[in-house]
Formats: sequence, structure tokens, C-alpha cells
Amino acid sequence: MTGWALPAAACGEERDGGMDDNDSEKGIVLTDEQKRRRRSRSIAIALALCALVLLFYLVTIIKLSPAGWWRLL
Amino acid sequence: MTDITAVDHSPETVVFAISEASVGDYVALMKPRVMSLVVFTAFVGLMVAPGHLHPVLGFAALLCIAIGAGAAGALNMWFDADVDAVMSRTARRPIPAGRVLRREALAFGMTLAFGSVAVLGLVANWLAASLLAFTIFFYVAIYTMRLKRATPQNIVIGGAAGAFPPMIGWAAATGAIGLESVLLFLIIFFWTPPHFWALSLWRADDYARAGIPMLPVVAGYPETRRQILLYSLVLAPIGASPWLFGYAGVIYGATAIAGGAVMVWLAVKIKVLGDGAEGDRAAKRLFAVSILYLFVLFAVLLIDDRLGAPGRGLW
Repeated sequence: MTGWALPAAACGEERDGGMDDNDSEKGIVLTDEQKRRRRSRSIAIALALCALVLLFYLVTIIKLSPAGWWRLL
Repeated sequence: MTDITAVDHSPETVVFAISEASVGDYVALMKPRVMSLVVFTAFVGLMVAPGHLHPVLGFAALLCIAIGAGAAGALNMWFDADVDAVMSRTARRPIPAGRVLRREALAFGMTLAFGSVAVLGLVANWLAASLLAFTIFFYVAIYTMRLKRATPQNIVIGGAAGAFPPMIGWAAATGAIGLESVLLFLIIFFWTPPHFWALSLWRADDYARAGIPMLPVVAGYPETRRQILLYSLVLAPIGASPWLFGYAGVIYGATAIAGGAVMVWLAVKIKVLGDGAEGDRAAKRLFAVSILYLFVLFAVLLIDDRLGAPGRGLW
């Protein structure tokens, strides 16, 4: 975890402060490593969501199948 | 998984922490080694239970139990970050190493906990989901937040959390709690003290530095060795109880008796050897063998069940 101290205006916290436009536009710049890790996290979340969708689909089909209905009776 | 988190707010500055956590760090939060034993014992509980559960539903139920265990692990690391930081065994975990924020671990753990319980309820039944919810609550709120820092009996009572998975697997398959699942619970419950106290015998300094009242720190090494032997003596017959009660066959019974004898023999050896390098080696051996003992016991129970459990029980 890396700590970054930025002027409040740079993240829109102080809209009428004394910061110039360059500071506001610069914002937080991620390093290449941080970008790489963020990308890998995003991919992992996407894969997990896809797996969940597939799992819910299969479970729904099985639960709603005639055998499944039969068991509920 | 937060990318950028505001950690301080003042009129002049806003201090941000940028997440550098990798996917592996989030996996580590879930304690995958603990999770593997949980999944395996839950799998055996689900397989040996009477009745039939569709394989996909069974897989989904096991996934929920695994995720629930992972949630408990993440919440444990969230609460114990201060203790983990001063223990050499845990100092490299994601939170003390500074790769994951505590609040990220909390959010991650809570999301997994509620998600796993809800999905298990929908996929299997609400008894299994309730048991999973109670297990997570027990591990986090009772063991981690209370017992661990308060009493040398922490892992005895807290061991219940690790003993529930086969019962949850059983409940997922049958919708009930049978005597056999209670016996599986008892096996893990009485296995936990000799397993963890063997570890604590050569990690006592670590626990003392962190202020954790593990038995060797509070009661001393001789008392810990005595307790390991006592619990091993209780564990041996309980390990064989599924056979004694007629739930398992003679293959399981023979394995359980042999395994229990090895556990007792190693516990006696630890007590006889006492302090010193030899004693430490014996403690490490008991720790390793105890893992093998539990794995073999449950694996043979499963094989025995698949074979139709020839020679069930003594009566």
C-alpha cells in the first residue's frame, strides 16, 4: 500500500482553493506496477462473475427441471 | 477491491492509499491451506451422508463452504493484523506486509460471508446455510475476537469452528444433522488441541511476543505436553467411533485404531523427551502426522463408504 498526499483541490475537495489548473489536471498517477495489479484484479473479478453466472444458470436449470419439481411435491 | 482509498482528510491535504494488492494477496486472505482441509472434510461429510444431491448442487454447496471458510480467514486477518505483525509466522501476511488495507480485508470478508451463506441456502438448504453462518460467526466473533486473546483454552473451544464443515456438508445433502455427522464433528474437535499445541511448543516465543495466551506460554511446556497426551488419548477412540457405532466398515476401523495409536505414541514421545532439540523434533513430527492422520481418516471413511462399508461396527 502506497500513501499519497495530495492537495485537496487536486481531487476536487476544495473547489475554490488556490490551486492552479495544472495541479488539478495531474491528479493521482499510478505506477506501471499498480496499473498491472489493478488490471489483474479486474480480470479476476470478471472471471469470478462469469463463473457465478454459469453456476447460477446450471443451478436454476437443475432446480427447475421436472425431477427438481417432483422433489418439491 | 478498492483501488484508491482516502485515509486522511484535512482542509489542506487528502492522503490516499493506493492498493497494491495482487490477486494472490486476496487469495492469501482466505487462508487457502486451512480452506483445503475444510473443503476436504466437508466433501467427505457430503459424500457419506445418506440421500442424493445432484453433483452440480454438491459442487456449488462445497464452493459455498470453501468461500465461507475463506471469509472467516479474511475476517480473522482483518481483526488480528496487529498480532500478525509481531509474529514471525504471520508477519508476511497481506495486511501486516502493507499490501492490503484492513478495511479492504473487512469488506472482502463480509462480502464473501454473506454471499456464501445466501447462496448455500438457495442451492442446498437453510439448515446448512445457518450452520455455515454460525461457523463464520463462531470463528470470527467468539474465537478471534474473544477467546484467542483471553484464555489458553482458546483453540479447544475455537476448534469447534474447524469441526463444523463435515456437519455442514452432511446437512447440505440431507437437510438434517445425524449422529454420524456429530461423530465427524467430534473427531476434528478433539484433533485440534494436540495439532495446534504441538505447533505452539516450538512457536511459544512468537505467541508470547504477540501476547497470545497459548498453553505453553501460560501453563508451561510440561503441562502442554500432558494436555497433548490427554487429548490424544481421547481422540484415539473417538477417531474409531464411526466404526464402533456401525457407520463405517472394518477398513476404516483398522485405519482409525492404527492412526490413533500413532498419535498417542507420538504424544507419549513428546512427553518423555521433554525440552531440547529432540523434543522439538518430536513436536514437529506430531504436528505433521496429525494433519496426515485427519486426512487419511476422512479419506478412508469415504473409500469405505463407496465400497459399501464391509464389516460395520462391533455390534
